[in-house]
Amino acid sequence: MSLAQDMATDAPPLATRVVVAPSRRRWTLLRRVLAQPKGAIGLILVVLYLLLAILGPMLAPQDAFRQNFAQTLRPPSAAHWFGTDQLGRDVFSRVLVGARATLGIGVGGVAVAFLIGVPLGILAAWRRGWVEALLMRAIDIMLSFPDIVFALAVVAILGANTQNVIIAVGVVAVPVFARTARAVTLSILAEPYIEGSAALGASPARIILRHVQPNIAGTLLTLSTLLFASTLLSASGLGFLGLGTQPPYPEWGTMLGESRSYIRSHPYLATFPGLFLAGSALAFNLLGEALRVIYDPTSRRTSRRAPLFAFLRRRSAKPPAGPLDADSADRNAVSVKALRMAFRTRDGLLDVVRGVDLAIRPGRTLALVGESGSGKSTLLRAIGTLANPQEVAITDGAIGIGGESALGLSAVALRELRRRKIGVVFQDAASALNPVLTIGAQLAEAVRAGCGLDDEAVRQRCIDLLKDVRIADPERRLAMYPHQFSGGMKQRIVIAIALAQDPQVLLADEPTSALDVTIQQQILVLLREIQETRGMAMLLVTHDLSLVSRFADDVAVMYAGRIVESGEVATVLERPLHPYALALRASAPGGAESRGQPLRSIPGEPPLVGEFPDGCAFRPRCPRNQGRPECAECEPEPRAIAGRQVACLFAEEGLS
Amino acid sequence: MFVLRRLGGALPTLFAVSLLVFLFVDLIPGDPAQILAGPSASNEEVASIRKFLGLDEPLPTRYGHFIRGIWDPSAATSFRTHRPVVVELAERLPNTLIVSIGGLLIGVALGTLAGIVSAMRPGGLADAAITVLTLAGISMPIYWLGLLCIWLFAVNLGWLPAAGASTPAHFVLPILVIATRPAAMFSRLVAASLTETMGKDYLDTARAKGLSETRVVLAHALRNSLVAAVSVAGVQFGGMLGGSVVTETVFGIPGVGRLLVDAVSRADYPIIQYTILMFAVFFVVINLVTDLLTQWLDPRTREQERPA
Repeated sequence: MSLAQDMATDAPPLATRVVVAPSRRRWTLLRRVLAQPKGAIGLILVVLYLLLAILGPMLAPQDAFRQNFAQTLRPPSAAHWFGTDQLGRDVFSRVLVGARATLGIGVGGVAVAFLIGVPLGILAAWRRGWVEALLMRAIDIMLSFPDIVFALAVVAILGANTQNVIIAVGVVAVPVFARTARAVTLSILAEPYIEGSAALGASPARIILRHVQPNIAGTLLTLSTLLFASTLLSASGLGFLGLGTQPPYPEWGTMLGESRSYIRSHPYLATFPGLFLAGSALAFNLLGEALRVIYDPTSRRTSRRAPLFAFLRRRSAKPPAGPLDADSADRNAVSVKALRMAFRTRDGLLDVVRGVDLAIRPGRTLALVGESGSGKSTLLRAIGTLANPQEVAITDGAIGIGGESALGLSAVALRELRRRKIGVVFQDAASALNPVLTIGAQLAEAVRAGCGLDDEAVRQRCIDLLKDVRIADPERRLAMYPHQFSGGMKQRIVIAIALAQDPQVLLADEPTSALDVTIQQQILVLLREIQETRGMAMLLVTHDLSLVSRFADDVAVMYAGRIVESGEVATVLERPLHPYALALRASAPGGAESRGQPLRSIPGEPPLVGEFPDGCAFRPRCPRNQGRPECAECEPEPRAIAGRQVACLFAEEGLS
Repeated sequence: MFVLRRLGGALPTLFAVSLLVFLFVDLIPGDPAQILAGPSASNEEVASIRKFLGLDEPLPTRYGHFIRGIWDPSAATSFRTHRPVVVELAERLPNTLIVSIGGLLIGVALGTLAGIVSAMRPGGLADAAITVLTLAGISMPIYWLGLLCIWLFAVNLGWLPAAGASTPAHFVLPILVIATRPAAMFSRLVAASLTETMGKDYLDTARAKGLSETRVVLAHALRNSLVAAVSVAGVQFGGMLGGSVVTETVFGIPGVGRLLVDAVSRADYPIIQYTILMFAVFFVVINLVTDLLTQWLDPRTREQERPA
C-alpha cells in the first residue's frame, strides 16, 4: 500500500482552489500530466495496458486454454513467442488473455475500496461525533493487520476465486480512501467560504456536491491511481499463492505461481508474466506520481528539488576572480570588493547583489539597512560564507575576512575560516537552533570544533558562554532542549554559540525582528556590549532605521542590490544625501516625528529582483529624478561627498 | 511509564482485533463444520466436528476458550495435524522474525543511505539512479523478484541455496528481497524530508561553527528528517511485514506466513485464527516501537515541564 498510504498520512492537502469549467479543466489536467516526463510515460503505458485488457483476448494468436502435450515447456520460438507452459499452452496468448483478469481485479478492487471508503470518509467528516469516532476506530483496527494477511483472511472466509479476490483487496484498501476522504473533506469544510454557504442555508448535500466534490476529485484520482498499482500487486500476490484466479483461467500472478516449480529448468516461464505485471505497476505508479505533483501541495517539497537529470545541463557560474589588495584587507575585519551575486533560477541567473563595496574595521558595528528584497540578507550570508552555491552564485568580486579571502577556498580552509573568524546570529532563533539536540550539545559542538579540549573544559566553557549572554543557572540549562526556552533566551543561546570560538566578525541578520519590543532592546544592548568588550567587528542587518543610531557606528543603506549611501551613523543620519536614504529616514518612526515632521511612506514599490530599471534603480520612485535623462543613462557610482559615499548623480542637492 | 500508557491505549484495539479474529469462523458463509466434513459426510460426523470446534457452545464460553488457546497448548489444535496451534506457531516464528525484521532493518538502513545520497546532490547522477531504482522497487512484485533472484544467484551462479531455512545462507536472499520495499519507501521519505530540512537555519548555525558538511548532515539534518520519515513510515511497516508471507512461499521457508497460506488453502481455521492474531499483535508492537523511536528522536514529543 506503499505510496498511497504515504499520501493518506500526509493528508491535509489543498487550500482554496480555483474552480475552472470542467471541460477546460480536463484538458489542462492532461497537459499538466504530459508536461512531466514520468506523467507522459506513465499515461502512455497505462493507456497501452488498458487497451491490452480490452483487446487482449481478441489479439491472442492461439487458444489460451488449448493443451498440447507434445509441446510442453518449449522455449520462446517463432511459433510460440513466449514459449509454452507445462501443459503445452501458448504463454503469449495466455499473457494477452490474462491482462483482462489481472487488470480487472485491480480496477474492481479500487472500485470497491472507492465506493465504500469515500462515502464513509465524507460522512465522518460531515457528521463528526460518534460516526467519526466509530469509523476512525474501525480503521485503526483494520490497519492492525498487514494488508496481505487481511486479504488472506477474507479469501479464507469467502473462498478462493477471482470475485473474492476483488472483494478482499478492495476491503483492504477501504481505510486508505476513508481516511483521505475524511481528511480532505475536513480541511475543505473548514474553509471560510464553505462556512459562509452553510450559514446562508445551503443544504449539506448541495455543499458537498458543489464545493467538496470538485476539490476532492483530484486527490482521489491520484490516490486511486497509486492504489491501483499496489492493489494489482496484492491481488496478483494472492494469485501467486494459489488463492486468486483459479486454473485454467490465466492471470499473471497465478501464472507466476505456476512457473515457480519450473524456475530451475525453464526460467522464461516466469519472465513474461512478471515483466507485464511489474510494467503495469510501474505505469500506474508513474502516472500517480505525476498526478500527485499536480494535486498534492505537500509534494511541492519534492518538486522544488532540481529536476531529474539536471546534472546533464548544469552550468558552472564564472569563478569569482580578484585577490584582495593587501593593504586595506589587513586593516579591515571585513572587506567586500565589487561583489556581484545572482540567484540561480530556471531562466538563468538573476542579479541580486550588484557591485557592493563594504568594509568594517575591528571594534566597529556597521548597520546594513534596506527594504526587504534589497539583497542585504543575501550579502550577509555571502560574508558569512553561508550562501548556498546551489541557490546563489557569486559571479564577481572579492570577500575578505580578517585579511583572508573567503572565496574559492577548499572545504577544510572554509571550515577553518568559519570556525576561527565568523560568528552568525540569525533572524529567527527558533529555527536557528536544532530542535532535537540539547543546548549543551549544540554549544559544546561549537566549542569543541577544531580544538582538543577535554569534556570538563568544554563544559566549563559552555557555562561561561551562557553566563556571558546573561543566562541564569547555566549548569541546569545545558541539558534542556530549545523548545523549553523563550524566544529571547533562544536568541541569547544563538549568540553564545556564535561567540564560542571568539570570532573576529559577528554577523547579525535582523537579530531582533522575531522578538517582543522589550526583549529587542535587551538583545541589542547585549550584542553591542559584547561587540565592544571583545573588540569584534559586527555587521548588523536591519530594516529598522531607528535602531541604527543607538547600536551602530557606521551605516550602509542598500537599495536594489547596491549600497546607495554609506558613512558614519552621525554623518549619514543627520543629513542623508541619497534620496532613498532620505526617504527611509522620513519613514522611520522615532526619526522624523521627533523633528516635528510627519511620518511618510516611500511612494512606489521596491523593484523585484531581476527587474531593475536601467540607469539608477531608484529612478521610478525618486523625487529628485523628475525625468532627468542623466538618471536613466547609467548606474551612478558611489562618490565621496561630505564625509560619506553616495551613489547619486545629484547628491549635492541634499546639502543645500 | 509511557510504554505502559501506550500499551494501555492499544488494549481496546487488541481486544477488538481478537474479537474479530474469533468471530472469523462464524463469518464463513454456511456451516463451517459441514464445509470441513465435506459433502459426503454423515450427520454424526458433522456433529462431532461441530463439537470439536466447540460451535455448539455459547459465544462467551467459546471466546474464553479461544483466548485460553494463546497460552494453553491443549485448548487449540490444528485440524490437519492435530498438534497444538501454539507449538506449530512457535516452531515457525523464529524463521519469520529473522526474515521480516532482518529485511526491515536492512531495508531501512539502505533506504536511509540512498535518501541521504539523493538529497545531497539533487539532480545528480546518483539521485537519478536512486529515483529510478526506487520506482522500480515500489513497482516490482516481490514474488517475481524472488524468482529472479533464485534463478540468478541459486540456479545460475550457484552462490546461495534456492529454498529452505537450514543454514544462515538460506536467509540471505529472502532478507534482501523483503528489504526492497522498505528500502524504496524509506529512500523516498528520507530524501523528501532531508531536502526540506536542508533549508533550515540551524544547519547554517552548525556550518558557521566550522563543522564539516558530513557532520552537519549526519548530526543535524538527518536526525530531524528521520523524525518525519519514521512517523510517516510507521503506518507502512506492517505492510512491509506482509511481504514475508509471500516471500516465505517463494523461498520455501517454513515460517508463520507459509503456515498461514497453507492453512487458508486447507481451511485449517484454528491455525488461520491464531496466525492472524499473532500478526496483528506483532503489528501493534511495531507501532509502539515506532512511537518510541519518534520520541527518542524528537524531544519535543516527550512530556516534560513547560518552558523555563
